[in-house]
Amino acid sequence: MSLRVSTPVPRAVADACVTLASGERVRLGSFWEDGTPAVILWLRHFGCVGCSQEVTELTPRLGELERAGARVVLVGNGNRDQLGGFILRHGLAGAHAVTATDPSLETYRAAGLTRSAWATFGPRAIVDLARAMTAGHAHRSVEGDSTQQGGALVVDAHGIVRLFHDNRSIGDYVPASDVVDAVLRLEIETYAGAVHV
Amino acid sequence: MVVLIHVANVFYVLSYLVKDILWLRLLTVLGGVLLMAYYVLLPTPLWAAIAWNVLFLAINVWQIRILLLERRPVVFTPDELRLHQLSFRALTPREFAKLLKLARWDDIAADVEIVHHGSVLDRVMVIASGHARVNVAGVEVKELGPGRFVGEMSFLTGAPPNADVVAIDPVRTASWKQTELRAALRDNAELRAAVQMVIGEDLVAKLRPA
Repeated sequence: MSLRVSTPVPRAVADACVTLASGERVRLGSFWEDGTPAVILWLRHFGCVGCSQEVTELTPRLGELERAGARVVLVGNGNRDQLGGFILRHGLAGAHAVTATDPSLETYRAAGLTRSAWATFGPRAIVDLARAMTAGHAHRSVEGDSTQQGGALVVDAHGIVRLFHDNRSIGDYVPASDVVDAVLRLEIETYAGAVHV
Repeated sequence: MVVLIHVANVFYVLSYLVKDILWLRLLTVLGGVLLMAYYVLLPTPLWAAIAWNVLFLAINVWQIRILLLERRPVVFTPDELRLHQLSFRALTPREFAKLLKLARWDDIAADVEIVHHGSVLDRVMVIASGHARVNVAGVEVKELGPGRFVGEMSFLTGAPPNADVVAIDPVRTASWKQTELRAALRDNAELRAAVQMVIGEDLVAKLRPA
């Protein structure tokens, strides 16, 4: 199932569960069903070099996303210990983001995200790997599913998909600025009755 | 003559030891020049090697020029400096200078309409001095002062404005054509992030009830 922009998030996606660092299992839908726009970013395994690059780019923007009224959720697929290590490595403890894991890949499957060896070891992945490593990111051992790719989902306060991207390779991800743009547009729409110049 | 090779290679060794790309290129140029001198002074000059070294030299000299231009100190006019302080502190002076290259400065007399509701707005403006009022159906709903953006919502959404903006007193604005600004930001991820932060903060301050 691939998510489509401007349509409601399918029930299967909203009902799929992730595990928080505390061990609590929560439905993905709970992140937006209270009327808060949500940004769900699925990562590859926690040791992935591309995810390190993505999270490093996103982390300084978390404050902006929070001020614009969005809840950011980072979902990986390693075990809880690996999730803890990931939070420490990226300084996410106390950050304006929820970090969770989905070792069963339930939410990945529900969202129809790519899982492929070609996306992980193909030529594009090799170029992405080299780019990330020359940018200073280290490739760690596999901490989760090695062939599962990530994705991005922005959901508005009414549960409508506003942005969706199925990552096709290790280094393929939605730039943080595109996520911020999508959230700022939501902010404008939320206050649609407000002055718009 | 062989000494030329040794001196050239000393420069190459030094170039490998430095971290600064400008010094690396400068030392490489020096090494290359000495190496070329050696090739030229041989009983049978090595023209193929000389030709390649001329090419390397030209590339390095061009890149050195670019690096030097990028490292020149940025000097702002008083208006530009004030605008940087008011709205663009999140941008480095160099980033702001890049943005200013695309900007147009306008002086708008009091009572002149800056934005008309429903009309397509093709520019993003920031008020450098003066004040403007935002009217909806003829009723003033907000006053915008120095440092405030006008047209950033249209820039983000592509939708025309739903309010009029009228100068209260003489207003000076810096503005950017939306298409040019988009193109500039598309080519520079860091500048895009910085501008987005500036616009986002202004937007949230404007939209959220006090």
